[in-house]
Amino acid sequence: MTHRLIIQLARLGDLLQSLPAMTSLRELYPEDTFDLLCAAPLLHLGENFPALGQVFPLDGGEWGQIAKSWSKSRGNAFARALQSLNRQQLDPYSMAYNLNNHPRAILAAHLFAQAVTGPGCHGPLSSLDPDWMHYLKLVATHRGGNRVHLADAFCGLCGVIPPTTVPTLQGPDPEKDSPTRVSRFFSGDRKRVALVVGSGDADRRIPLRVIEQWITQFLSACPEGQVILVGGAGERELSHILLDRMPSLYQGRIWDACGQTSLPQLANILSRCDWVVGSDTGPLHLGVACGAKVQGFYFSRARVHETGPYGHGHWVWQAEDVFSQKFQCKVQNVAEGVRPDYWPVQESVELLLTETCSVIPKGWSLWSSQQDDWGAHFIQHGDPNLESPGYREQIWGKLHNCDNVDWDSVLELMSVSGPSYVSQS
Amino acid sequence: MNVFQDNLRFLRLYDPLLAGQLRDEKGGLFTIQLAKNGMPTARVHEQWIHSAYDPWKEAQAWAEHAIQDYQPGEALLVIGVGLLYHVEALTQQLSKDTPILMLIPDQRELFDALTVRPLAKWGERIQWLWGNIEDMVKHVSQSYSRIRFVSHAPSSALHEPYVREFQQALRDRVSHQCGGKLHVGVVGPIYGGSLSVTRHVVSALEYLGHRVSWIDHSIHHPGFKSLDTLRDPQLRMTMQSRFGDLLGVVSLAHIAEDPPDLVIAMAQAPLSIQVLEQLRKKKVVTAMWFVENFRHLTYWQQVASGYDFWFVMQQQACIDALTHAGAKHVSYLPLAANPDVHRPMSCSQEEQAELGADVSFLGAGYPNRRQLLPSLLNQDWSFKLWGNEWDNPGPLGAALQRNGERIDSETSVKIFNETKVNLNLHSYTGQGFDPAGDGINPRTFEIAACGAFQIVDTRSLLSQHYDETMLGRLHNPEDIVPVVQRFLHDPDTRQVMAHASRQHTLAHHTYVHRMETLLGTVGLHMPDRLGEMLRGERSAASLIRKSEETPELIPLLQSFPASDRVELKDVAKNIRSKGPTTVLSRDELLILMMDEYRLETRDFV
Repeated sequence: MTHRLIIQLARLGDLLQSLPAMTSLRELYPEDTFDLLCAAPLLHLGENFPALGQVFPLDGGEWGQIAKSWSKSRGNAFARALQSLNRQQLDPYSMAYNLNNHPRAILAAHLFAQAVTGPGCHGPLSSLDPDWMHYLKLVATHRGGNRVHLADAFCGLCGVIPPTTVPTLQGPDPEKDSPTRVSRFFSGDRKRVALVVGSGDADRRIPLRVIEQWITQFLSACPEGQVILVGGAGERELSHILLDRMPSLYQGRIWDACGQTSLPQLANILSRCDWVVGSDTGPLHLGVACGAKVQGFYFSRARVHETGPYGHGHWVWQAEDVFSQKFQCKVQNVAEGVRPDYWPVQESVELLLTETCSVIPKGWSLWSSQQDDWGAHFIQHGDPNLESPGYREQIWGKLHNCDNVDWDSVLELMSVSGPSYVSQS
Repeated sequence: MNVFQDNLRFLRLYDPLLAGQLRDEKGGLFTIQLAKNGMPTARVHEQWIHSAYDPWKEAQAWAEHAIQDYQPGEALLVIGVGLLYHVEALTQQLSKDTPILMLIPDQRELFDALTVRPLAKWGERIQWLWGNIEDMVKHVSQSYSRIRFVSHAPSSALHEPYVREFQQALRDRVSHQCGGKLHVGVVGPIYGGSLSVTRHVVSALEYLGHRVSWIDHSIHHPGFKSLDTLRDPQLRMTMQSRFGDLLGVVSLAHIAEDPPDLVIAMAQAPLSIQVLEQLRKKKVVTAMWFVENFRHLTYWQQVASGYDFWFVMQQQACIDALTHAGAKHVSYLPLAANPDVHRPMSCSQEEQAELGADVSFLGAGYPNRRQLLPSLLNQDWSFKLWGNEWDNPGPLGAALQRNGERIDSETSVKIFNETKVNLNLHSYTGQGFDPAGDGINPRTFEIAACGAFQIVDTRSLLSQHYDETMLGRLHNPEDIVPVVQRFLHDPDTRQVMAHASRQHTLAHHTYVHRMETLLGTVGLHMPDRLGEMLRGERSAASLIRKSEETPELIPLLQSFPASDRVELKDVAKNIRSKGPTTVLSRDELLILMMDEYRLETRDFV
């Protein structure tokens, strides 16, 4: 039995996108143990991840204090750093699977393990990237016609192919993870939608007026519908404004859970919702991992093919860059920060209630999520044959377990596939 | 047996000489009475030294606050005796191995305390400092490398001059022991008298081996001067103020690029309170050397609280004013001379003809000078007047040289050297001599360092620096002519005095001395940070010596030259330079990890 460590120090969304890699690793090494090193605030959520042994936090606050204390007492700072290290480490791991390209993650991988897969695999001081990391950098730089989902690229970083089954979180303990109001709100046969109010990045936030419209139209069209507002403490003010604007008729059917739940509690709530609706954020992906159906609004820098909801049966509204299409210029030069003028509120509610959409509004495309041997992919509503044929299979063929990647051909493949979300032919 | 007798018996075990002194003491400094909680408390006249309600609770709160910044390994030097409640509270809140030193300015005070407060149970932890200041300072500086002052304000205020003398003596002694090197940022003015002082400060710091980053704003002077062409005074002032603000931000940018351990701003440096607050947020220690008369230039009021340390060339009134305006540490630091610039020199015949005279005065045309100097005209000596701001000079126009243009440092030195009697009158906006005049102008030190002779109007601080065997003194404006006459006709005395003043200046009054004092003061008040750097305790050799508990650090430090100062970033940089294929040890990885988080704090230092 070998001890292996998975390192994911990024935010909630990235941690959840790492679930497929963890699943594939377990499938490949069923006899071995897998532990997880994650950011301290995500520790308790990590404990709900399937088939993991121990979950350790990397406490940035503590390390920041240690670094500061060096100027006062070097010996003391070093001793504290050693203590922090020893507190977490049982035995050195044989292998660390590092999913972050940040120096801290690379250093942690080498501190905890004898060998490293993923960023840092060539040594802690090497600037050489593993092939899948280089591919992700190309995607970030050129965008192009990438069709490989981030979660599947994480699999590639770990040296495994995407999992055969879509992973979900272990069922949260309802006793432990339920806020007091949950049982009252979740009683009866209702259609419950969790609406993600905020976002870590301001440019991924759906405008408040759009959320207001969405709630009003949904509650009006669905008399048995209920809405749970989801977000962190930072979104409380937004949710208060939103509630103030709501007609009193609907007040009893809305529960403002912003800033009132821990992550495991949020997971518990989302697992009891029929739908989760929001932009490309951590809570949206948490909804996916909890088994809810998801409808995402992807705009600004969010791309359906890169970070769309993982698994079957989810929907994504992708805002298109009308400008670049009109003037036939390269998408990557103008697409950053694009915000739509029109939001498909009515269309979204229709989709949620009927699983169909009669009209796709201008400036948007609609995608449904699928899963096959090469991981997640997305089919455009009304034009299921648009996906670049064999793109993902070819990329996996070029990158997976290859000693010498032909990067020119990878770039060519990316460019001939066109922009990452183009729907027009 | 009463409390006092018990205490004497106890004290005999630890400091028998002090016990003997106290036996013959009478006390009576304090009026002692019972507080509301039944414990003894004290007052001097109407001033309470401890709480009239609960002196013990008050002392505990004081001690908690006083040791907030305390670092292990430091000795605590307590200023202020009172009834020792606060000292006992300190013993409870500090570990048993913390040295606690108690300064006794007046044994009557300790006598009073020992009549009501038993020492048993905690007194054995106190080292009593009493007697001759020089001996105490010697003992303290030799016994402890890191000293932190804590002051009990109500009782220390009773002996302010004594405390200041003690701290100054300790500072001077410690400053000479400083061997560590700093990176010092010096922010100078755009123009003006403090610009030349800035140059001397930079030279002195470099002479002492510190790395100096001079943020020289004099290069912006033409731009600043161009604003004089704006006719609207309101607009001109606004633009000048904006110009200064911009240079403040420029200073900030320079400091951020290469963060110094200490920023020394010279008077008129364009650092606004906003810039200073930003520096404080970024953990940059700042000091201002205010080489101006605080009564003439009053902008210090706006920035008093912005600097961590103030150094001023005037004493009590100035120190009080700054303290009142919010300055935390204010110290007296007089001006000085730079022996590389201010030195004896021979001039060519042409220079002697132009610059030489029996009597000279060099300086700006302040009202008192305009009033007094005409008495030197039409005498049996030659008199030359040098300097600017002499518009409408009246009869003095006959003596004014070079049409009243500004005289540079090099020419000044030649004038001092070629003049038999240099008259040095301090500036004053009134008539005669400034009755409140205390600070000494730079010319006093500069003329002396040149080995030239001078007559100077008496200032209250002059005798602390030069005695009557070194300079001619003017006690009244009416003395000018007779005193000049006397010395002009006594070349031997002039020569002896000038030589003595030069020797004394070289020994005590150079900018190198001043910078030693300034850094010593800062180090004394920041024993765990700048103090440690100044003592050289951050050198590789020192760090290796102190790595007993973490021997893992030793190999990482051995690659540095022994005297080099080593910080976390230096160790990390060394590791990173090993090349991309290097296999790193666990300890090296830990250092890099800490450094990654250091980079994240966004502090400049």
